[in-house]
Amino acid sequence: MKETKRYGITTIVGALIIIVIILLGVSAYAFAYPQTTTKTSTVLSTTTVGGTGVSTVVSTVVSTTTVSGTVASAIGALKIGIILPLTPTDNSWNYNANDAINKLKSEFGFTLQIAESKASGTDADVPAQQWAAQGYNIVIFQGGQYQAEANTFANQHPSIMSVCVDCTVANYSNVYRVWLDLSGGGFVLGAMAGMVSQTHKFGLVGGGDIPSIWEGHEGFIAGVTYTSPTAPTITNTFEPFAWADISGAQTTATNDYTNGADVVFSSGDGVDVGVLGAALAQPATPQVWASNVYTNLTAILPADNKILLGSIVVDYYTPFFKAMEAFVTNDWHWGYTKVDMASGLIAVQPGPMLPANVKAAGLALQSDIVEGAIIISFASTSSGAPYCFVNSSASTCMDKTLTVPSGGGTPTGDMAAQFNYLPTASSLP
Amino acid sequence: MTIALSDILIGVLSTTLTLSPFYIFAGMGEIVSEQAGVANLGLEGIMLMSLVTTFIVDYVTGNPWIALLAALGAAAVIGGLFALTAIRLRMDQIASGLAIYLIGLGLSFVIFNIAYPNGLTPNYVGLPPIFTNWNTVPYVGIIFLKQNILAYVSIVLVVLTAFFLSRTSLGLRVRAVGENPKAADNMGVNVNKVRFLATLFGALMFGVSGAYFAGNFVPGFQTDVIAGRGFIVLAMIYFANWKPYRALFAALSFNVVYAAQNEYVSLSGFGVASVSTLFNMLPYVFLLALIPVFGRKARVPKFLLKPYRKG
Amino acid sequence: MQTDTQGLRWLTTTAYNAFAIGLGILAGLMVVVFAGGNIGVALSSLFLNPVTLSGGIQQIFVRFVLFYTMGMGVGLALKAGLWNIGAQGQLLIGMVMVFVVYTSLGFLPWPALYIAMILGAALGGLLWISVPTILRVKFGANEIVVTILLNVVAINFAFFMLSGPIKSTGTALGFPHSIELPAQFQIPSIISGLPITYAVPGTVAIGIILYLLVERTPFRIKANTVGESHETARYAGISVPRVMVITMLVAGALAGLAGATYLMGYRYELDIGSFSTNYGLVAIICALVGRKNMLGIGFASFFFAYMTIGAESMALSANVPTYVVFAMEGIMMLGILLGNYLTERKYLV
Repeated sequence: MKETKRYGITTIVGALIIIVIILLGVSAYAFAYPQTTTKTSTVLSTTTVGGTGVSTVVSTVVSTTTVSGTVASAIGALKIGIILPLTPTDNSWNYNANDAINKLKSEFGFTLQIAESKASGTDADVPAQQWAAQGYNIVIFQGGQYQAEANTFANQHPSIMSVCVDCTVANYSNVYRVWLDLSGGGFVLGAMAGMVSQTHKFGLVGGGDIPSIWEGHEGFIAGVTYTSPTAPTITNTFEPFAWADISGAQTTATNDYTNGADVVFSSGDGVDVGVLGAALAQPATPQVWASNVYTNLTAILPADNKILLGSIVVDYYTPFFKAMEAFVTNDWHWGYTKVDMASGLIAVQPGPMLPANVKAAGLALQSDIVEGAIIISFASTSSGAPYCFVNSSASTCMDKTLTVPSGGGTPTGDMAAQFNYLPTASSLP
Repeated sequence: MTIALSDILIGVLSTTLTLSPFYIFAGMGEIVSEQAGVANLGLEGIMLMSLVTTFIVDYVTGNPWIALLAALGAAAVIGGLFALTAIRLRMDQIASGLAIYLIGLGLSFVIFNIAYPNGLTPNYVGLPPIFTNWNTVPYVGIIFLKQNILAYVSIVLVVLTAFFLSRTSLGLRVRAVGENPKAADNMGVNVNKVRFLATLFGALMFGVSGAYFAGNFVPGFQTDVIAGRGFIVLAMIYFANWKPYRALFAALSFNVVYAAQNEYVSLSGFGVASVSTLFNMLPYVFLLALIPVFGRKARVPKFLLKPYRKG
Repeated sequence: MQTDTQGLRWLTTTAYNAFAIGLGILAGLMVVVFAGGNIGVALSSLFLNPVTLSGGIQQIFVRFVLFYTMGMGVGLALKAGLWNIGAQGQLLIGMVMVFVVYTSLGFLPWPALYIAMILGAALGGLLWISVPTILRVKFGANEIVVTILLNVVAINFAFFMLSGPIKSTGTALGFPHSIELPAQFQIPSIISGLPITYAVPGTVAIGIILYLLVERTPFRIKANTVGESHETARYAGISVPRVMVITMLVAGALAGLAGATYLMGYRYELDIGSFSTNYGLVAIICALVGRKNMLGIGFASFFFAYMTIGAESMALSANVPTYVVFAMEGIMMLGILLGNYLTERKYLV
């Protein structure tokens, strides 16, 4: 009988203890080193727009001092849950929502739980039901992919407010819609891009064929065509479910830059991360630009300023607050907040490195939109539905035949962004 | 679309050279490891841990080289754990490899979350390119000069690995341990020590891969960001018959196909037509098609996956 | 004497397994601490939430069915020494096939169509695993590598189908998903109102049948011999290719079937949420914990169903990312392997 050498329990237990200590050490280290200080200013910067002699402050912060005491304490007693499709590390859609809800929490002190990385409605149902069983009052479904689930959940729990962000359909009175319209922001960015680009080649990288993304793209294309002195070359890339694919977005954006584009428009989430990374990896000359959506990148990541065309900054702070306020004042049935430029909840923050005239032009156009001088809408299909992706026979909404004559005029094309009025391009600063 | 064909080709080549080193480093590491008889299925877990370490250490120190070193350290730790289970404790390599993968997958994201609690993560662009003004040199610049030093190290590594395995005595010992450990043991080779070193080398290479992934593939972290690419490396070296040059070919051609279909889908404006997902399948179907190209019966190291007990 | 050692061996294994699971849970709790969560809340969520919260019991049984069905397939193939890492891909293909059958064979009357959908899913899984099986049996290509590749291809294929042929119009709105199966195509509860569907007794029945067919017949010896050494098996007159093909095809069919029960018994529609799961890996863990025994896998599956749901609930309550569950699973798997190893050392002489 061979004497089996007993490395025995001691070695193994020792190894396990070492592993445990390593785990402890790593976590402690990660936990202990200085954190990035959270920004104390709001997500949305206060932008003063001018150009026609009217200066409009686009938004202000809502804080406890401007809210009545009873409402504030009622909000503080709430239990709120939010469901995110990815994680807050995208510096975009998820970061923005997470930041807004956490700021509100620090203002008002309600109970908050965050469920991350819920890819679809069915996944979102699990935490939502858990919250319902624990007596939560408001569940925020942060994404259009939760639309069906938000409605089903609302039907099952009539006393819970089901906030649905980027949703277009509400079937029950306790669904509170936060409706996003990025076309104005896309248009202003596009106009600036058209002016600042040297190669007149542009890339767009999209996250998925959904209303908000699509509107942003069409707005950008319209803006570029509006201000570009020569006919622009536009590469519009969409792949299904792309909003989570950072590496794919980075590769596509790098390709766009390699192919001569010097501005790339990105429409959110992981796509933003990838596009910004691609832009930062380009050499300092010739200058390239990239944009982002939802967060004010200048404020939170100034290291990206050197390539930043601009940010479409979306205020979720206000819509979330309005939902909570509506809930506690019992005025929340069929509630709705439209988040767009005209309502002041979307603003374009031009990149700091842009030439002054480009910035001024962007802000001028923005003030036109805010004041209602320029209204952007989208054509009807033959069946009368406002958006072609509701029309079951239309397979895609990407319009390759869009033309907006330089200098203003009626755009043509299937689903082009339509303008009631556009100032002549030469009149811009 | 007024984009020249030459621009498209340049784009494809440039992307290929940017993406391939990730697969090449991992491939060389896994080749050496498997030639010694240890298949490391936890490679993606090691890559994820080194990826997270790269991001965090770069953020803290501002120095991508120190981040690379830290990533190697993290890889060594996790790789050491795997080596312990697979070699010393002689557990089933596949099972323990998968366990390491799960641990790496979960732990990396948890660590990242703890390090960046409010989610704000700076973009990391990786090591600097070889030549900072790479875009001033036409054609050559964007394809070759844009890459960072690791890309070239990976090519040199292929040559060194091939030389090591076929010409050096240690390399022969590695292969002997995988082919016939009993005979190697009789010749006085410490089988388990050689296996351990081979596995550790593999783990370090996975660490470099993970560090390379940061910046060149993604500037930030998300859930499941490596998305199975590590496992694809297993297929690559398998179809390359554990030969380093063939693995290089597999990695390069896989990425050429990926870059080409990516560019094609982008330029042709398929939009969200479902057909673009069919194109996404092409690189993997291509790998499967390599089976008949490189010969049907793969020469598996005879004692791959079999633990060795002395005596 | 023999039964004494057997009993003691079983006890030791269980003790080691318990230790392994405790270690995994400890790791999870450590993460909770470092994230600043409350240990008490975490513990109560982990152990109690699956049964106390509404929908928890339903989910336990849904996952039990999922892990058990896939795990049986993985375990069976493992007996013959074959690793089915492609269970996740086969699961997806099975789910896609449910809708393919539903749309293409829609003219069939209700009971026939219902059965056809389930069979179609199993067939899909079987076809998907036939590629690595053929490559392995005929060309000696390692099935691990091919199944892993096919997993990725399966995801892309499912994306393709979801964005095109089986896409639902209407409220799709750019987040492609399939139609929702109408009530007569869902798997009904045993007693209405109870969260247990017919899938549960169905799966247990399959488990018992497989147990009788595999564990209680010479097939078990055949498969084990093939798993140990092809040479010995051939010498004993066993047809190695036949054993390999049978085990793999059954494994694939089971994984596809799991897709059908998961879809028709719980999700009712296919969307991308199903694509990023790691149920294939958990099935492998269950197969290993259940020591490749058709009944043992059942117990392991039930345990892991409870555990994963509790862990996810704990992560939610403690505001910790749900990815911590993966790390816990990995640590448990390592611990369980360690336990198996230690038991073998002690009692294998």
